[in-house]
Amino acid sequence: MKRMKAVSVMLTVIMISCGVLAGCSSGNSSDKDANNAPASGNAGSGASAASTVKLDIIETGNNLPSPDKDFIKKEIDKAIHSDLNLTVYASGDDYKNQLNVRLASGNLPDLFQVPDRASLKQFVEQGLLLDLTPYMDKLQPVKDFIGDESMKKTTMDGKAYAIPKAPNIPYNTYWIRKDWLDKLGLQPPATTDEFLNVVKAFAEQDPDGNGKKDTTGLTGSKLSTFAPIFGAFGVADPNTFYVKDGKLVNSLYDPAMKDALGFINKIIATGGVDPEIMANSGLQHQEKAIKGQAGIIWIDWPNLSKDQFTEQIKKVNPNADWMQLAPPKGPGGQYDGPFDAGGTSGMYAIPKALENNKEKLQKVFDLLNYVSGKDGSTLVQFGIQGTHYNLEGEKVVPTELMGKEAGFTWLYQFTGRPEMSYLQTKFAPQSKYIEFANSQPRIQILNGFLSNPDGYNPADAARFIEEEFVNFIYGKSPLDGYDAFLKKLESTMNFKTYMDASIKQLEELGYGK
Amino acid sequence: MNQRAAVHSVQETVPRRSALSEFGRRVWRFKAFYLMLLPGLLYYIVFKYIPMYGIIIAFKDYNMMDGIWSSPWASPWNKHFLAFFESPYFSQLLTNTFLISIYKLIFGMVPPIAMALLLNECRVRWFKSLVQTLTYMPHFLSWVIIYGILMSLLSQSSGLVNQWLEDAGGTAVPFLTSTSYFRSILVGSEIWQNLGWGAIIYLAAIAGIDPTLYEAARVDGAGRMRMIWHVTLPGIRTVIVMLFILNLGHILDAGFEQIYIMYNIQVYAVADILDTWVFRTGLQQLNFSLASAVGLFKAAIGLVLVLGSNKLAKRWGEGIW
Repeated sequence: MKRMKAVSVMLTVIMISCGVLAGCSSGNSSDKDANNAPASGNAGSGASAASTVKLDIIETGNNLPSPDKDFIKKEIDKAIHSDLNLTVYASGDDYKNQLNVRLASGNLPDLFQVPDRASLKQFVEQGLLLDLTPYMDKLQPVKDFIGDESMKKTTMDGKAYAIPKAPNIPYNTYWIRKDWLDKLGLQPPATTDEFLNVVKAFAEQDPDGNGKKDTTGLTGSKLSTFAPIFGAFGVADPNTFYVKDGKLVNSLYDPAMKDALGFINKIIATGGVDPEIMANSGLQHQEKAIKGQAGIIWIDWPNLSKDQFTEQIKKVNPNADWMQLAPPKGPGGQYDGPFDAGGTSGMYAIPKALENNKEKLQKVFDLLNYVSGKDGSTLVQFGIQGTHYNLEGEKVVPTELMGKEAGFTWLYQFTGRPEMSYLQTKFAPQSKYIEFANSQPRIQILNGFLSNPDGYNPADAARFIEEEFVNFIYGKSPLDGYDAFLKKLESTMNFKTYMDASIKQLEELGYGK
Repeated sequence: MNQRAAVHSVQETVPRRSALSEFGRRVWRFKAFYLMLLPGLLYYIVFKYIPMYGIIIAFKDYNMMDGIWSSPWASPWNKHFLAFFESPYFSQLLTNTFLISIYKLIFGMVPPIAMALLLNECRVRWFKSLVQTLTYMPHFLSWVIIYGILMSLLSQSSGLVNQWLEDAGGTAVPFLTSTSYFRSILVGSEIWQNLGWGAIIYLAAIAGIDPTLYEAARVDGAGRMRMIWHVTLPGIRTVIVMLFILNLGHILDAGFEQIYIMYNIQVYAVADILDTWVFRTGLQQLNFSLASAVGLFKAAIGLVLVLGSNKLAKRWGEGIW
């Protein structure tokens, strides 16, 4: 008996100490960063006089190695005489919270990622960001790299407040289990009606052959699960702006939206759609696909075709065969969801406080210019020449080390990268998926250019729209109520103000005229 | 005795001493105690009272660059309170917050007490400590992990419970995405998480009960149930009432972390509480003034409830102060 008690006490002690250790170790790792940074800084300053400037940078990301193993940091530090201190946060929400806390406490980094256009507007209103317009001539290499058009995305009232990354390309498509299609003797669906039948068949006809009805036809995360279906009716995702027949429209007011909702309701009514699409957060839908629980998924190519995931898929079922599916044709055309013309894969801003620290500010410009220039850009794309890649003429040929060591270099691509050539080189095995996703027709939406007017609460409105849409597609409210929904949206959520302000902003940019 | 007499005589010789110096003298007399009180007092002043000046941003248009003091005053002064009261979701948020909280308070009250009583009656020591350890382990799990466990049990498409249901010929139940089950799951998982942990405090209270009371009861021929009813429960009544009053003060904290992790758009109607709304509207959009206005509102209601319930409890002779 004594011994049992001892065991239980031990268990408790272990549990508690585990907690404590976990707490400490996470604390330690940041300490270590802080300790190592000055150390490597010293090493650098020994070589290059006293002109190293320490730059704090924060952004979202993952897998950043510790500074002593971070060869990109070392190379950049060498090139521009700096001491970079990059900190990355794995989840977007975490990052947002962390950034808000740092901004509120006045503990500003020297360069930081701005999560989205709405945040950009808030930061500008709070007077936190440096107006970059007067400095643009110092940022010529950056401008050349990302293109003049891109700067529109971060311009507000004629002033540029951040540097957007070079334009990106779309990644998302439907993916479908080819082996399931074959098993049931079906063709890849080309129209919306065929699509509906396949979803139904995947759920009902036991495509994995285990004798149980335990599969769903379609999964995804939130309403975007149906992006290509919206597209087949010629509308983009809820509450998006686009130009249709020469006129600016919001998808909510597009007459085809009702038809799209009606059809999605029909797909769900087959019982073939993952009942938890609205609860799938993060990558839960990907997990379901990998586990062989779903036959079609709306997802980006990296999350289903990168080596680590194909391995997992093969482990669950060696015969699993995922292929990309072109968007099904519908009454409104054939579009693989929306693609935001104003969207960026990131934008970086400099705090206003740096205005008075000319030396540091110049260093930030040096950094941005360096990663936009030929040498720097190649470095942050591929790593070190001779180690991670070799040049054959103009062509970059990856070495084995690139895959092993240089996976994190994108964290330093503050101004982005030439997307297509970069991906083709770095993800050679996936290049056909990249090309496929990039070549699908998309509806060009303009939400990235918008900022919210005062008196409009985007959180409440987003909730209302999403809730009502869920009710429509799950058949909880009849579609006859759609116009009443729009009325209520206008009367209770101040949506009219938002519409007017948005249209005005877009017209100023020259859309829909 | 002597000392008291001495003090008494001093008072008599100088009858018109001001109240302040009287206070000062008393402090000096019990200086050791006040010295021991000092760190606690300082803690509350530095970490609880001084930061309260930040409350004024609820009445200002807080701007981060200007700081708390130089941000302009809101006009009208109650602008942020109005924004909150006039939100189309205000009444729903308040209802959800109260309901979830009250459910947690009421249904969460009895299980730890029952657990403590059962553990107290358990005579097999290793079993008792085993059960105790097992039941308070969940307290150390974060909500993310608990949600993960819940998902694998209750998920509609792949959860264990639903697979059993289907194997038994039933249909899958949307536990996590249906408005009819969500609150029960919130309350249930909270009770599960805090069962063992909550029992600890009651166990401590039970340990403090005078054993002679049990002996007397036994002599009078009382059985176990009788002893629980007439000795143990009355013995921990003060603790029960005290915990109840303290918990009432938190009635508008329905558990942000838990709900934020577990809710989704399909259950917002029954799960969206003040804190989650503030997070989405206030903090994520840098609207700190709105966030602190709601915080102040919550604190005011909590204060009223604590004072009120203490008054009520006093009437039954069990108040905290």
